[in-house]
Amino acid sequence: MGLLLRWSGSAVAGLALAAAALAPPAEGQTPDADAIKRGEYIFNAAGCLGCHTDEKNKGPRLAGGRALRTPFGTFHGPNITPDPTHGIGAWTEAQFLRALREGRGADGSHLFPAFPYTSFTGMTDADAKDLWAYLRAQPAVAQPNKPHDLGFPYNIRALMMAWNWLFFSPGEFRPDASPTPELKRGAYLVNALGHCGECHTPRNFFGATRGDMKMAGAVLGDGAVPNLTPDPDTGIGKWSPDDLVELLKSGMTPEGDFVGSEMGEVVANTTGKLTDADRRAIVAYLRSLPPIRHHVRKPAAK
Amino acid sequence: MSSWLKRAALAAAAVTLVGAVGLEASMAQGDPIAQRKALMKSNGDAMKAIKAVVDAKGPTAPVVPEAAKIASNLKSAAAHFPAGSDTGDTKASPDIWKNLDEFKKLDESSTAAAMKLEASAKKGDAAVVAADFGELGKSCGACHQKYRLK
Repeated sequence: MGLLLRWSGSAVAGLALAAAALAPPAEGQTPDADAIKRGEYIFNAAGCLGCHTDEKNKGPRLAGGRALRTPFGTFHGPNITPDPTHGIGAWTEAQFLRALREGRGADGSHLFPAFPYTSFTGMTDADAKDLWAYLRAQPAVAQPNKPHDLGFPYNIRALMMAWNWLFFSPGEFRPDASPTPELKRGAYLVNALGHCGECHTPRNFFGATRGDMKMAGAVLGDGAVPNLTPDPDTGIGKWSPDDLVELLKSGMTPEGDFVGSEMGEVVANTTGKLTDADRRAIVAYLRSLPPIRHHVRKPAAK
Repeated sequence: MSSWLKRAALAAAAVTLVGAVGLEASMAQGDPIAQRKALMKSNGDAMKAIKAVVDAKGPTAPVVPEAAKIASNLKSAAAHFPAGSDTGDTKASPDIWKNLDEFKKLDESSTAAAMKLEASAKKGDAAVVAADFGELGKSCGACHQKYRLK
């Protein structure tokens, strides 16, 4: 890892050469600056930072620890820095791809879908490999993972086998047959990378997103997550494409307000860092969804 | 102008003034949640107006009073979050009162961003105004992300 760090962090050729002489990289593991750069874009588009960094408590970057509260218990995003003990430094690229695709840890154990492999399964090989290259190039942090705090029976990982059989369809993203390249790109950004539905699609009793209510808005914690389908009254049907693009870019709504909380974070970490073309693709795709009339009401204050 | 017209205009001005003073007074005495909501609504309206000017890429003069309004609103903003005003019909995060110093700092940096926008709007370079407007927006978003619940 030290090699990777020096390689990416230093422009001094001599240093890189010296490091290379000390520890020649294994075949196929040569850090590729272009892959790391592309991987950074995938990292942003996939919104990895939010769950894997305890930003609120100023925790070290990607070293995990953020608490994700769900009806099943509290999950803590793990350390995904290249630390070999506490992070994913001892993982292989193949294991990383399998985690994204199938929701499995390095040892084959089942990950919980708080990690949105249900969305990331659609990631292309090329993007997943670039993301891997980027993560490998980040500083290692030796910070132990916090255990999840789950009630019985949700703490039984093996039960995920049944859950996956019922609710999970693995595989690279397959867009609908007809759409334009822009709609395909939008669908990929929304469904595979951005995992927007993890918050904007309501879940069933088992915590799986409901296919019949895709992007129709949901109640999350004590807040209402808006309906993103083009329904004119309860969704985004009355928004202009420009207004939607602006919200993704700066967080500003047509009222001159700025989104806060989780969506504020998404704008800062993800949508605000995308290209304009990608933001437009997201908006075009959302506007192409079947409109679903669903007014999300904020739960009454406790 | 005939004298009755003058008087009518004066009367109208007086009514407006009294109205404004009345509003100020009621704002000052009212609950802080309503005050800060009115203040934020005023900021939103100003941002909306500025965005229209920035999008049009024309003269930047109309941005000046709007940016000044935001700066003045934000200068007093932190004062509208007294202890105990965390409950009620509010989206203010309870974290505000845990990190009051940081909250005030964010407010100050947003105020500074609004003043910078006001200054660049006076100078009239549309590209600089657009960039400063973007920075102010980021500043608004940064505070909402931390301290405004959805």
